[in-house]
Amino acid sequence: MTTLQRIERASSRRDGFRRSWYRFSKNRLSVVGLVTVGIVVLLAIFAPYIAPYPKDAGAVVNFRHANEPPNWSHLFGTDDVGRDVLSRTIFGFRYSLMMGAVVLSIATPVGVVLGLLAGYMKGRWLDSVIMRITDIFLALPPLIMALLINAVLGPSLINAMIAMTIMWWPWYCRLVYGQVAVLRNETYVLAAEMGGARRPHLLLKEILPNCISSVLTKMTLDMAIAILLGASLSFVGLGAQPPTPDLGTMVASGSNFLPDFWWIAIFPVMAIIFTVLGFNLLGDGLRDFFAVEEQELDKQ
Amino acid sequence: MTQEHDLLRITDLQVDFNTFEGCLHVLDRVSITARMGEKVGLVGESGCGKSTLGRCIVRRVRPVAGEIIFWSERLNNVEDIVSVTDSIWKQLRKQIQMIFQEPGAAINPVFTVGDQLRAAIRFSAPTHIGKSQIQRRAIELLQEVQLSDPERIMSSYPFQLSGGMQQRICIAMALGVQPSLLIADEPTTALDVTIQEQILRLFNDLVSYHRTAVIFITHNLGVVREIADRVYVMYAGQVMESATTDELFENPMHPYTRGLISAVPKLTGGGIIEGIPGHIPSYLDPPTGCRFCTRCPDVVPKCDEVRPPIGSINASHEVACFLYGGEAS
Amino acid sequence: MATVKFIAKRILYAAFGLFALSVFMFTISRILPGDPARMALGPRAPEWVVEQLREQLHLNDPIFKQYIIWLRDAVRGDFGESLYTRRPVMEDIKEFLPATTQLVMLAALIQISFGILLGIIAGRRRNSWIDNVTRVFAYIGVATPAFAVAILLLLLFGFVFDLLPTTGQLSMGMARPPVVTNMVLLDSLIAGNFPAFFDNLKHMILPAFSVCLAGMAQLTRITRVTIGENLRKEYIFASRGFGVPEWRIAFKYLLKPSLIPPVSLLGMQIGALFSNAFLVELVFNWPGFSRYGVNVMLRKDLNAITAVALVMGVIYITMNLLVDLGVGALDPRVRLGERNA
Repeated sequence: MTTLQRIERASSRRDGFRRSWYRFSKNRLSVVGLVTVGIVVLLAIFAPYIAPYPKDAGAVVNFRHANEPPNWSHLFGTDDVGRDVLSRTIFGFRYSLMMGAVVLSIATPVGVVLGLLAGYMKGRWLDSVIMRITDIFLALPPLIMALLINAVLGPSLINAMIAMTIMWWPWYCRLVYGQVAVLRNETYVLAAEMGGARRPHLLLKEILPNCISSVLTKMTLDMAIAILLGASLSFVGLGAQPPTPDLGTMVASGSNFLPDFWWIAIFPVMAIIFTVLGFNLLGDGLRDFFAVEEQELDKQ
Repeated sequence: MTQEHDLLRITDLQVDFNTFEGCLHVLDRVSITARMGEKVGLVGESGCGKSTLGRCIVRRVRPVAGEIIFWSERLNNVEDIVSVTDSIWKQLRKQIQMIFQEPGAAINPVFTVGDQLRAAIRFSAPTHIGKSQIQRRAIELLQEVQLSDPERIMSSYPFQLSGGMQQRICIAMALGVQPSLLIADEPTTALDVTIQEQILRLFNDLVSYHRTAVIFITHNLGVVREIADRVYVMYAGQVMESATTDELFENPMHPYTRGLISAVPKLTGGGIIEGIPGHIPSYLDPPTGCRFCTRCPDVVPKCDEVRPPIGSINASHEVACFLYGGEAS
Repeated sequence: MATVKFIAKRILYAAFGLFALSVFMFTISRILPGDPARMALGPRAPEWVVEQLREQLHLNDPIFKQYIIWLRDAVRGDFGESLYTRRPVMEDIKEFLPATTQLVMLAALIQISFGILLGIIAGRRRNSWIDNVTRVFAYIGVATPAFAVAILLLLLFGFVFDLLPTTGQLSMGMARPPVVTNMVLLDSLIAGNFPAFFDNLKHMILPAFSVCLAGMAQLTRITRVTIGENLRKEYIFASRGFGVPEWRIAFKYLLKPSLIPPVSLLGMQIGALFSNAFLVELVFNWPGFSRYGVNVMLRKDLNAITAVALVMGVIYITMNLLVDLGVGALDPRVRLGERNA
């Protein structure tokens, strides 16, 4: 196989992007994931322009059209107070994506920086302090702890996000910490070290860039989990509160009208599955792309 | 006395790999033979297709054309490995064992060495043998590969043993099956230099003692010289030259072989490329003729068009080069 | 010797987890709320009554001593009174935990047996139709939150097909067997009441599947991957070359190394099963611990919340310990200390 590698290396310089795309798109499912995520993101961004009844996202009441089954003017039907389920579902993508994005965009940098620091200070007190705290969090069941924090802080969208963030950063901390431990023994890092490079330089220029691919992969897969978790918190009533058109909240209130008015709950359910599936497929595609085999096997 | 007693006869074997760039022609009409009990060296730079050839013999790679005729002592018959049914292959495969480059690779990491060694003995035996007999044979085998304290080794897990010990165990397991052909794919390359020598000598002694035929795949000419009775020199998926070992080193004929041998004193080990200017041609679109023509010092115009036929210099020396006669056919 | 060291290390790690959990819970129940005594009695209670309760709860003692007392009470099972049910939290736990335990146990059974079995079949027959069906199932299963599975199953079986009961744990008019363990399934067996046993089992099918579907999908996927990877390994190839029978390779030499990643995943999954029960019990009106947990959380019933989280945490940490020991039993490299689990 060495010949293949040699050829691969030679031509990757020639057409890097096309080759990357070829490798990524060889797995059809990755492309499906990318398209799905693209659709969801576009729907979320342009929700006010795409949704047929953008006003229905709020606390609107229209009892004359309550509980209408799917029809041409309301493709997904209407809910118990006459709001268009399709419009609310499209707005629902906004809340799901926002929850995932906010949680990860806080948890990831915190975890990465702490992981790098602990790895950098390996063997000193800062290392032990950071990693012991991380261990404490990793030893606890995440969803139940998130529920608990959420419950103590009080039910609201913001508190749900805070609770999730508190339980999330340790995973990134450990991921990066582990990577630093491996990478610092790589030949190119040792070479740079012997060449007289300072430790901050080593961390930021040699080690960090090589963590990016696994962090990125984990973020994509975690986006799926965060959306699931956010929807679950909302579903039990701890997250977003009605009339916010959050998908989990919509399912919760819609489930009161099963089975007769099934469309109120089912379409948001489908929307959640669609979004999570998209991020999962994309994340798997990225992982294969970066060929990070250990992650599947790791407990995370 | 010639072809009936060939243990293995590979004729015009061709292997392609499909990739992003297109079809790689990894092996191009390769023919080699090995007689019973003969030690055959297969030498060439890394990536020349010699490992692929070894994998074809054990059916891990499927060739697109050619045949691999194997004479089975147990079935008392010849079979084409490329085309036999799975059920016949099942009977054949015990007779062909393989030793890999990575010593740990052939030992299951979660079972003890003894478990696997005993399994090798038990299931390869033609008739049922008892537990105590298996145990005795296992200890014998470990002693044969000069591992002291066989009982302790048997109750160890592979990760508790060094690379050299693991490779000895692989040799013990392979020989425990009593194969008629042993394919050794760079068995010492992954080991420390001091241990390489020990393992090599041990291996050589054991296969001579058991009269097992060996196909020894390596890039190291020194190793070949020490082990092989006969050598095939491969370059970029083609066989360039074959001769008995002494003949080849005394009288190398193909320009590639000569380059290879003259490169050795300068650099021991794998750094052969330094000795011959130029690069291996692309496997995507190799010259239709001799693949060495792009680097050959003695190239003539027809070399890249026409494949030079294999010509016999004498009974034990064949070379595929226009320098030694052979008009385009 | 190394094995003993491994077990001791795992137990120590679990103990550390329990300690962490207790500190965490103490912080949440005693420090965060500010004045628990005032909270328990409400804003209108006279100051001297609050002060009395403070004294009674040892709130005037130093934090360290408070923690010790709190821990001693917790170990004894004294979590105080629930503001929601107005009775000792321990009573609530005794009543609601068994229903959830039997649900989660059935779910775990289904998840492990089906998940690993499907994974093995799919991994051995890559790209066959059964592999493709399994992959689609796995992808959708992982992407579907437990409450969504519950709602879909509820609609499909409860109303479209009308095959299985969708609410509660016994049918109307079915008498509850005398309480021994408070697990209806066990109690009906003990009482020899088989109609109740099967009725209860029937009620459990839909909730159990909803609880375990995601985990099953995950398990199937990882088993499929590791079986496929190990099938290509040289040592399996070598075993075949020795003439080891195919079934023996499949169940011994292939299965054991392939089971290590799925088994290490189980620790996380046990936590996920209980978490999913939180969502599923609501949909199926299952009178369990999780539904109780959600209710007390929505009511900010601090004593009960602490107890629920503490019980869940203890179960989670204990299960993880068992799983770690299981991984050690499978993988000598972990057990004998070459690498950590």
